[in-house]
Amino acid sequence: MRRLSMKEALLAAALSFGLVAAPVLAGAGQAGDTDLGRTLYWEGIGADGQPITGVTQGDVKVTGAQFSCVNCHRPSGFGTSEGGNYVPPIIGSVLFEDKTPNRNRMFKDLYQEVQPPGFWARVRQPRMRPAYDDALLARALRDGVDAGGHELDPIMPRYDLSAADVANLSAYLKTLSDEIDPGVTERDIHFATIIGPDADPGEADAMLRTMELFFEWLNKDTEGDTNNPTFSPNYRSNFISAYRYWQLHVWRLEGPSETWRAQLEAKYAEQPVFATISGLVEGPWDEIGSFCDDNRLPCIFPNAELPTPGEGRYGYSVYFNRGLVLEGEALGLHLADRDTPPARVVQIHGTGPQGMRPARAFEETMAMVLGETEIETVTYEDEAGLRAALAAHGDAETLVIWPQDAAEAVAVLAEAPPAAARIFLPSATQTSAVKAFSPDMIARTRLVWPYDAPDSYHPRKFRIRGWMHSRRLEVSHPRIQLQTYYALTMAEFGLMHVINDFYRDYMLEIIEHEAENELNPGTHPELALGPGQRFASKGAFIAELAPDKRVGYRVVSEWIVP
Amino acid sequence: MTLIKPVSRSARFGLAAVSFFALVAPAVADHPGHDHDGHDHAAQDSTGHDHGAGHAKQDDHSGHDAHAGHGEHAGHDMSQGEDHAAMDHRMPEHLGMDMGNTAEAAMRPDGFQYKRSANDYVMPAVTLRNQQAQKVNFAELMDYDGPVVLNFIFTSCATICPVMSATFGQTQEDLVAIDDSYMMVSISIDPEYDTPRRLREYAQLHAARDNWVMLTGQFDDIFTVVRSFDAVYKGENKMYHRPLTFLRQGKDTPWLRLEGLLGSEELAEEYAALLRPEVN
Repeated sequence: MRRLSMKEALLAAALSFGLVAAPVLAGAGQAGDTDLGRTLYWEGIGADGQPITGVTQGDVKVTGAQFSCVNCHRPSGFGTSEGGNYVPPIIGSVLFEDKTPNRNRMFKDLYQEVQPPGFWARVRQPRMRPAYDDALLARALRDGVDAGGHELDPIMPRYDLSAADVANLSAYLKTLSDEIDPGVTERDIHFATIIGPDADPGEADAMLRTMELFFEWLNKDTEGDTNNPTFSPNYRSNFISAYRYWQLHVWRLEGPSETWRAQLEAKYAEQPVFATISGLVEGPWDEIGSFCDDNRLPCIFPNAELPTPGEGRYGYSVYFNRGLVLEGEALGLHLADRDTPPARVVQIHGTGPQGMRPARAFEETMAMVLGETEIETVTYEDEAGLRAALAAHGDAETLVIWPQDAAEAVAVLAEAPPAAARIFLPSATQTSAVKAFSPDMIARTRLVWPYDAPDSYHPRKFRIRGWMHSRRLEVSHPRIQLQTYYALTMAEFGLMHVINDFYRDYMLEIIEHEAENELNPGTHPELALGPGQRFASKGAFIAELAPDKRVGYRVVSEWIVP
Repeated sequence: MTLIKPVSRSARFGLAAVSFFALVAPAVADHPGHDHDGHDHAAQDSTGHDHGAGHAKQDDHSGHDAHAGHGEHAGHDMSQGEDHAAMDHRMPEHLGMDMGNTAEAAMRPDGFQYKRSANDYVMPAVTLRNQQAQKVNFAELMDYDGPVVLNFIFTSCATICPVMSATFGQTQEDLVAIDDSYMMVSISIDPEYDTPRRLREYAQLHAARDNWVMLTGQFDDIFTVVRSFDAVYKGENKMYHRPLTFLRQGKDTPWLRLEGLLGSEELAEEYAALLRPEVN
């Protein structure tokens, strides 16, 4: 992937050399190449195809391979703040305009987040400067002097850039966050939630009831606040332009996953949305994920067991965790951590993605950490196939089962318990297994549990429960509903910081930044992202079934992070 | 501008920061595992180290004035008054309602200065993992009776860690030239994302020598180490962390705490001054 883009960049650079070389020599003022500017911004590669070099903190040499513009100024160009270092926005509409005292702009800065005193002093006494042009931009990038003649902070590297580099970057910055993203009007902001054809109707209903109620109450607040715009406690009137009514569109998919892409495109064409929030999809998210990436549409925390494989860095889907693949890897590490690792493991899995993906992940992890252990893998097609596989291999010492359909597998196991000393199942079997299994089966069964331990404390969980109870929302599927609430919170807080800069990249950056605040609804031990990160929770426990407990399980291992 | 209690969601735009703080502060206040508060001063108090001793030698250090007074650190407490003023008043530091909030502070590029102080920290005996995925007892690692240069980073960090790591990377040569018996330690504050594999890649990116140890581990263990270095960040959100570098001469000497970003020469000079105070 990266290799390819390098090649492309080199090719583009080689091409542009022929095209741009003459004007470079002729002097400034040539039109920059936006694509090359993008390569410079994202990958730190200059017009000559080589990583750019610069000096930060006075004498620390850095190359574009170590970090580039996007690190600090972010994909949206709105900048960030970290450790007291405020990185200002550098989008074209800010850079190439005068910076003048503007009360609303200052408020935006003021209310972002907790910051050290130097930051606040700066915000209260902002530096004014005239607009940049390409010559001033070149001076700032090379010599660290801003358009007003002030010295830039030393953390901003002084870069060794050619005239072509500056022109390319200038061209790219002018395209950065230059138009409000689709799905927002003067009055409304539109969101969708995606429900797959195989989604459990009870779960889908619980998710939608949570979302509808959240939208309803948010819009009631908006109505109250905007009906009296001149009433302005806490400077509210400064933010009137940021209020939008939230509109929810339910996108129900039908048929096989190969047809989803077309369905999504049609729904999006009919009503563009700013983002999709939550959602409930059985099976792989891959089709939906590529739709989100191609449309640069944030898809925020869907309830999905099979996220698109890979790290998804800077992708547009943000997930709770890596789902079943994580479960497979965590189980491998758990077996390796035992005092006497098993000599042989029989793995039975369905032939659909719910069976295949965790099975492959488990095998790969085992090969890495327990190369000596023999793994026999058996696949099955349907219920009868599972029965046959259990009859043939159920007496193995250690049995791992990755069912295509969790409830079906639990029914089969309850009816004809295998003789295995230890049976490992994925988390999705928990609710049905705790009811259906005999005490003997329960004693031999362990689950991979990528959620929180039952007794952990998350203050936010109680607030959310209170919110739900006071609005008479039936909490029939707690995890789905709490996860959905978290997704909604992320969208709400993301927009709150965006104010009226309705750019999707900007909102995603704020979600990355804020995910780790005490907003965890108690579903996972930690929920946190970082720049470019797309999986908020990274590990799993091993749990046993506990019919004596209200929650029906008990955690029996450390938190395992593959 | 005062700290306004969040009245209702009606103020959700205007009070973004304030309501975040309100969420965070009570939340962590009664959090059993992590007894720090949402702002710096309380955090320092809660770690239990003694301000009198711990920050007695604090001073503002400017990279511009060519390190005039390296030998005089011990008695050099000119900025103490200002610091204590900040300690005494009750306004949370992050609101900036203090004497440092001046036009001069606003115009000064922050990055050319850092604060230094000498502190005694107790090394906790938690088990972490290095970039080779080997288990490492942190207290035993720190039992090494030689110079240590240490910081807290995370590999996906956008702004300050790449600079801190580049500084470490580039300064390695100088440190070797001064005294190559040092150990360099970078501790990830995003341990679940920063697996040993990611730390190995990160080490490669910054041309780390073999004596640069990168550590990850269980979240609670990492946070124990963070707390023992008085390096807690607000709301337990790693995105609010601060640029801190710690230097030590031997296992029984105090830690020199440098708060702020350093240049390579500055780091090398601090190291040289620490090892050979008589030369300077």
